[in-house]
Amino acid sequence: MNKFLKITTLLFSICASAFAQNIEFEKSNFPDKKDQLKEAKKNLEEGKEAFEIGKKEYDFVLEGFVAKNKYFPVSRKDYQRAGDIYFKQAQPFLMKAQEFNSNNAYLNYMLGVISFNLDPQSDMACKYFEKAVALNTGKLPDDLTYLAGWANQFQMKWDEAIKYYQMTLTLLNKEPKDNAAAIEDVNKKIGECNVGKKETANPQRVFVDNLGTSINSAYPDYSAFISADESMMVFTSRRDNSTGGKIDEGDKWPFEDLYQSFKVNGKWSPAQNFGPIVNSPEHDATAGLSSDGTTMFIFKYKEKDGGDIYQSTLTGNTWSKPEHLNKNVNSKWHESSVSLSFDGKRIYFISDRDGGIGAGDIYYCDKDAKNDWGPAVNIGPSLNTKYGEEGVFIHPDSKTIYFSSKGHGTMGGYDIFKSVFENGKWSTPINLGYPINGPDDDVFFVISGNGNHGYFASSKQGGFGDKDIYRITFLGPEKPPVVMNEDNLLASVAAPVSEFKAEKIVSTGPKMTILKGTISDAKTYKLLEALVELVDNSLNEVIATFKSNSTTGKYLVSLPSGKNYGIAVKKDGYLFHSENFDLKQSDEFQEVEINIKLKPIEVGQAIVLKNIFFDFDKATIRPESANELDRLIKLLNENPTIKIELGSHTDSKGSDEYNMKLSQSRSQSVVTYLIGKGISTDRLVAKGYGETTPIASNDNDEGRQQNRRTEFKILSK
Amino acid sequence: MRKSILVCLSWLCLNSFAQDTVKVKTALTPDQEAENAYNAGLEFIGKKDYNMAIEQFSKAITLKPNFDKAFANRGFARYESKNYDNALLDYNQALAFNPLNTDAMFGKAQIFYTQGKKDSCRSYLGKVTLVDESYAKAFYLSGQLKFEEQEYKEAIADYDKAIAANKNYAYAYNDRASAKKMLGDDAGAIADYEKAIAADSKLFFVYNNLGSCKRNKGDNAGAIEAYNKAISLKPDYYIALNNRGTARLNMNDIAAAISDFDAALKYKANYTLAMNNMASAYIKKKDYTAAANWATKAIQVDSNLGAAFVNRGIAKQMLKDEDGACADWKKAAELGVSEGKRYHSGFCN
Repeated sequence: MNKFLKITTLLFSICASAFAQNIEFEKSNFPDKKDQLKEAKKNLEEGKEAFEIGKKEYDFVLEGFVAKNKYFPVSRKDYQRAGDIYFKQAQPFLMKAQEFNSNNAYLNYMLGVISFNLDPQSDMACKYFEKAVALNTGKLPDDLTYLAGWANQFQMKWDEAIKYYQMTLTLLNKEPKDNAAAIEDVNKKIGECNVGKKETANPQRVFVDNLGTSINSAYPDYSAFISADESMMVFTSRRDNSTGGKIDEGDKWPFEDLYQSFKVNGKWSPAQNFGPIVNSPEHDATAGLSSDGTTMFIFKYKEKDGGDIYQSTLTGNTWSKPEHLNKNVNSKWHESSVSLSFDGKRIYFISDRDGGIGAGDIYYCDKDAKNDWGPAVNIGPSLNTKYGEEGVFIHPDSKTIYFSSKGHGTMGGYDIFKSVFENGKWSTPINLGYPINGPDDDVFFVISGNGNHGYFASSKQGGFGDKDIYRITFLGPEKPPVVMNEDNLLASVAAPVSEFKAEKIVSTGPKMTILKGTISDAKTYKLLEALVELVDNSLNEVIATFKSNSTTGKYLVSLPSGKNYGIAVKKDGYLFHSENFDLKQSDEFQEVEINIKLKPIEVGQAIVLKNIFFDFDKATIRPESANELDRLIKLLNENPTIKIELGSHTDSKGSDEYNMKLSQSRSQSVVTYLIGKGISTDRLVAKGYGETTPIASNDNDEGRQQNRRTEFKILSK
Repeated sequence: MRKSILVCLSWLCLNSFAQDTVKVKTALTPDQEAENAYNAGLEFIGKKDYNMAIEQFSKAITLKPNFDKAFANRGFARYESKNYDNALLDYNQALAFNPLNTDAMFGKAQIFYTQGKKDSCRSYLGKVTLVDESYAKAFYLSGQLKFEEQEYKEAIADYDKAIAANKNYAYAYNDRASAKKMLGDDAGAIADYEKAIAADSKLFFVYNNLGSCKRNKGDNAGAIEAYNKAISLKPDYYIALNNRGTARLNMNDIAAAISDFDAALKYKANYTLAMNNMASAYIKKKDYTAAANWATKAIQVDSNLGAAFVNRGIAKQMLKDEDGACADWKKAAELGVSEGKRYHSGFCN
């Protein structure tokens, strides 16, 4: 930037309006206002002194950034609010001077810089810069048109911004070799403006709504995370009742604390502080939440570790004391923003550790054999850029990743992008578009399991104070209305024939299933903490385990489409409960609620084994039944005295006799399998029921599927 | 396809039914007097004065008790008077005197059709065509039965026979066109509707059907032209007004569409299809409050109007009433509207 700053501007004088004239604070210009001039000059000098200290600080941060990164700041965040304290001091004095003389080029420049840094949402900076350019006699600092461009970019005045950037390029190109980094930066910003033009011309169909006072406060509220079913939210706030009551001297806001809220009857409950187990007197900020809402990641900053990630888990109503994640995740550098895969076996996070592609890259670690996080892997250049990434979120569908980047096609600063893992690689990131993204930083975006709602924080106007949390409602493609028509199709029949019609729309939603509900004792209705095993039936592998909450009995499992899943719910002293979800790759989002009642191991109790499969019309057990059968064997081994009946049932298709024979053969196959695995013959009875005991209607596919089943019943204990 | 069969639109066209006039000689015998009365009865049928016709046919029967044609025609007059039981007795009597009286057979088929006894209807139509292979009306009614059973290909075969027997059978052309339309053969349907118009240019409903076929093909301008003709022949033809509104909506001429739906509602105040389409028009106009109001009006008249629930759901979503939208889409899904199911599963979980 230093080279850039040193370039002498000739262009400004050319561009200066022929109608505007710079007026210095001199007696000759104000012969009749001696006293006022004196006061104005005093204000000007005081303001200028503070401004120039602030601007030096600003330029110092800028130069440091360029030296470190070899490129110019992309985001306002990169300036770290440098100079703001002095700009705040300078502003009232300069405003008074401006009231006296609004036609001074340098004064307008100073006010432009101050406005842009302190209140970038307002268009005042554009006005000051515009006037400064018009009044410029060639003596103003060289970053005038650059900042004018950026201020206009912030206001989404894309063409104006490009105009100023082009003026800047003209200057820089006088010494292209020395100004290579600056030229690259200005060209990038012109590119951002072009993206902005395109995106704002085709806005996304969304509603963006402030979450209101239940969540937001007069203080900064941000970094919201939600459970996949959107029943729970955690977020960061810097309220005046922050744990420990400390104020951060850097920005004068209270220290960060974590808060939570629950959706009750469609509305978010008033936010509650997590309390002293999770929150400390230092900064404690949300960094991630598992899709079932039982594992939370917390960012804590300590100078020596550059900021690390901690984990807290929910048992009953209590969150555990946050534990530091291992060194594979946490380095001496800055780690932030964590997202856990649907099965809890992979963690994605942001780190600016050495050896990355840029400042802040997406990494991931997989669980190792000891159930701890293995070595960190950079996700690679498809997603990471030299400009930096932030706010990573892996959707519970397991293949869609959302993240903020300054490097892909942004409209300015960080924009939120989406990429899908397909055919072994991440697709080219897609900008989520306007109004989700804008020219300022757009970070920490999360999206609900059904893909209908996203949450993010913004300082946009109309909020309750500083940053607020907003909800995006994705409306999807426009829904064509349904029209109704009728015709007299038959000449001799007066009654018309009606039809209704709507244009087809293509679904773009996530392809996954959320299975949720409660687990309780079938007899006492007591809510239970039980183990929920998720099995990939085609591999016969347990791919994830979850626990239901001991107080609420609630569980939530995300099932990406494209697999045959077995679900086994287990607890000591109870028969296991099984469910099956055979999800095709193309299956659209669905949320299924199953409240599971575990049956105690008692005589007469029976359960359906939903993950035992046979070849069509045969008694041959299919290999994907192994996990379920092994579970049954384990149950029999743990309860060595029980005798059971294996009952097989068919639907009503086929003759009674045939169905009876088929079901008898199938139950015998299961018994034979169990005997082969060492279960004593005298503990097992095979019984075919044919179609005699349906549990659902045989008039439809769904009912028939329920009727085709294998059950086991405890005969004696 | 609705199963319920209502009153014929224009029985005169279908049943230009009166049998051949009998020549009367100057010296009147009882038979001749019977024939005079019979002829007078036919004239009353032509005037749609069925009571007088029945009186004259009864006189003829009294004079000539085995007068099968008089029985058959009295049966027809009683059928037109909705006195189906006695009409059936007359047809039976006609057949008792002349088992090959095709008009009596056809008359019985018509009564069975009206009474929803389709098997019996089919049976008698079969008997008619067995006796007379050129009995166009029997083939036509047989085609209609098959159309109603959604056996469109078979219906077309019957309409072909009806048209072979009567080259100017406008109704048969219309119905064959409709069967083709149901099979997705819009081009064939349009050709047949045009033949129906060539056979009888006053049939307003054929223009309407032609318009709808063109609209389905995306020829909204052609559709509007056809609807215009239908409406000019029958200004209170609310069905065509509603259809023209839809074509105009397709062309994004929302104001004209609203005007058409409004006109349809003037002629039929509780016309739920036009109310629903008003909601559609206002959705396109992005006036979601008005759209929700119109959909609600339609639902108030017909609480099973699934399309209106879909539309009200769309309007409510845009009015940020997500719960209301989901409730409406759920209801639409329960009523079997696929859009309701799709929107509910996509946006309400």
